[in-house]
This record gives sequence, structure tokens and C-alpha cells, in this order.
Amino acid sequence: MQYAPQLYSAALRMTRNPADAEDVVQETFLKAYRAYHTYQAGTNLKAWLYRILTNTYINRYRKQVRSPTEVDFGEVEDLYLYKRLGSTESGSSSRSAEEEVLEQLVDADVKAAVEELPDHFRMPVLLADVEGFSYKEIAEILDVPIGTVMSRLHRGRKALEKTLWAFAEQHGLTEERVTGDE
Amino acid sequence: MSKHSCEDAVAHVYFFLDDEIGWFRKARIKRHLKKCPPCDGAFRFEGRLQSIVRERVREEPQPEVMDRLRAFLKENESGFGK
Repeated sequence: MQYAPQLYSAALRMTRNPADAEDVVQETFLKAYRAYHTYQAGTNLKAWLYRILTNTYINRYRKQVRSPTEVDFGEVEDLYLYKRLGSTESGSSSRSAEEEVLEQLVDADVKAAVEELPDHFRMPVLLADVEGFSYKEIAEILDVPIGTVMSRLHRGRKALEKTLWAFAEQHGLTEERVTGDE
Repeated sequence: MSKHSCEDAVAHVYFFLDDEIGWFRKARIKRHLKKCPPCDGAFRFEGRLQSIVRERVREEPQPEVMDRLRAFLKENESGFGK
């Protein structure tokens, strides 16, 4: 049951629900055990397991589960959050005012922001930023071309920044920094 | 700082942070960041944001979850020793 805790954590962010996450992980391991003869020794076991996890999730839930809020992320500009959090003058200080705001975001905000992403953004963001897979590995796990991984991952991160900005605003973390130039 | 080199750096921020970039462009961006505090700040910010996502999104399962998984596999795949 190597990687089970990580797979559970990823399943939780995919399904957004502990009971469903548990089901997906159980099914993943069952499939993995039964298909173990197809796993080629020496290849990437972790990526192989994530591929089974992802397919299991997609087959079971994608049809019925919609994002909790269908936010239209469109094309989010580069450095969305950084630009909104304030001046770019403080770049050389040890920790900038912008980074201070990041530190104040609570775990629940970051989790909720990830969960709000639509599937096609959420999967690459989870696999890259939480699980640490390379673009090539993500392409294999999701069975899409590497260019698609890059585009979705980069757009997904910007969409995440947009959501985090909304949370930071709701919590009043941005008040001192917003100068009314919006 | 030339607008072009800032734009080039920002356009590659994720490739750079993900270490999915050729050595030549990486070296060029590094040189640019040394000379350009706004871009350097932006890159540090994006890097910190990635670490925050990593640190705060992962969630360890409760021991009962792992117990149930073990029991489930034992029941359904008895004899599988892994």
C-alpha cells in the first residue's frame, strides 16, 4: 500500500468528499493489485498508481460532479495575484508584503480554492503542485499531450490565483494594500 | 530594465519554477532576475505560492481510513502479499 496516504489526499481534492475519496482509493488499489502483472518493473510506480486513481475518479464521478461554483476563469493575466497584492517595488526585501498575505491564507482557503477549479485545471495543478510530477509524467497520467498539460497547468494556476485573491479580499487581508486603482 | 526581457521572463515563470526549461533560457532568466528586482520579487512570490499550495493542500488520512483500506484489500484480494 505504498503511496496510499498521498493517493488518498489527492482523491480528497478530486472528489471533495472523504467518503468518495475512500471509495476511489480502495478501487484504485484493487485495480492496481489485479493489474499488477501489467506494471513494468523499473518504470514509475507512483505515476502508474496515479494514472489508475485518475481514471477511476473520472469514470466514477466526472459525469455527475460539477464544480461547486462554475466560475468563468477565461484568460487570467500573468502574475494576477502578485499584481493585485500591491507594489512591485518591494521585490528585493527578504519577504515582501505580498508574501505576507500568502502566509495569512489559511489551509481551508487554499484547499477550497483548489477544489473550486474545474476538473481540467484541477488535475494538472494537483499533480504538479501537490504531488510534484513533471509535465511528461502528468501527460502520461492524464493521457493528454504535453502541450495540453502545460496550457492547462499554467491557466489552472492563474485561475487558482484569481480564487485566492477573492478569498483574501473576503478576509480583509488586502485592505491596506488596495489603493483603489482597480 | 528592457520591457522585452521582463516580458520574456514573466512568460516563462512557470517553466522556470517547474524546472522544465532549457539551460540556456534558464541562465538568461537568472541573469535578468539579478538585475530586475520587480521580476525577482514576482518569481519569488510565484515560487512561494507553489510551496504554500503543496504544504496546505495535502491531507494525511485518519488511521481508520488506512485500516479500512487494508481490510478491504484483504477481503477482496486475499493472498496478495503486498
